[in-house]
Amino acid sequence: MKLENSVKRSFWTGLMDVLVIFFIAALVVVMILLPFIFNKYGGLYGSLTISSVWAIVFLYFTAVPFMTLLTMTKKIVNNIKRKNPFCRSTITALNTISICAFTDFILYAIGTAIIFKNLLSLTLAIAAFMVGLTSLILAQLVNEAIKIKQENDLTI
Amino acid sequence: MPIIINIDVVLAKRKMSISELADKVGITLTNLSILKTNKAKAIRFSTLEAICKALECQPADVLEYKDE
Repeated sequence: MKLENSVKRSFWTGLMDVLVIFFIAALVVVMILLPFIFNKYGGLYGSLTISSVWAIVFLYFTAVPFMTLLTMTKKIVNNIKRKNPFCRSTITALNTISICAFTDFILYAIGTAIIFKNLLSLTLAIAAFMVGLTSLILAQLVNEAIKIKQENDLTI
Repeated sequence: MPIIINIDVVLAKRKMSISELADKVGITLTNLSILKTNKAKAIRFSTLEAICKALECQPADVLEYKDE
């Protein structure tokens, strides 16, 4: 039973690791191919209010917080792999994730309001907001968990 | 904390070393020294029982309350 549990856990941690690396790789590929993708699917964005070059620059700007967010996720996965998920660095990483997600939310909200003016961009903004809110709540939860863990560690 | 742990006093009376006690109680030396230096937040009854058994004493010999 115990062995089964540990195998299961390592499977999920492994999957998390693979997913995060896959996401980072996918983001890098998309960033490299962005001008081509933008030209090919340009119609999806509806009518642009600024030139497509500036729209691409804007999209690159929104990729920066996303990249930071993924790096922080990798850090949390590493903490979990080291079997020490409840530490200060997890809280810092979660807080950074929420700041990045809120930055993306603001960027996409501005983008929806003045550049793209369609539902797709609005959906991205709301998704970023949800990610930010979730990680903010998780940071508080981890904070409480650290307190309980300390209490437990100091019970002999 | 107003609760003071007097393990070292009892240890000296019994002429027992701290590592010997850790062996008998079955906890690590690190945890025992956390307990000895009053850094512990709580003590399990099972640990207290093992300590009393190893030192052949009562809980009152190990624990002490001092008003601050």
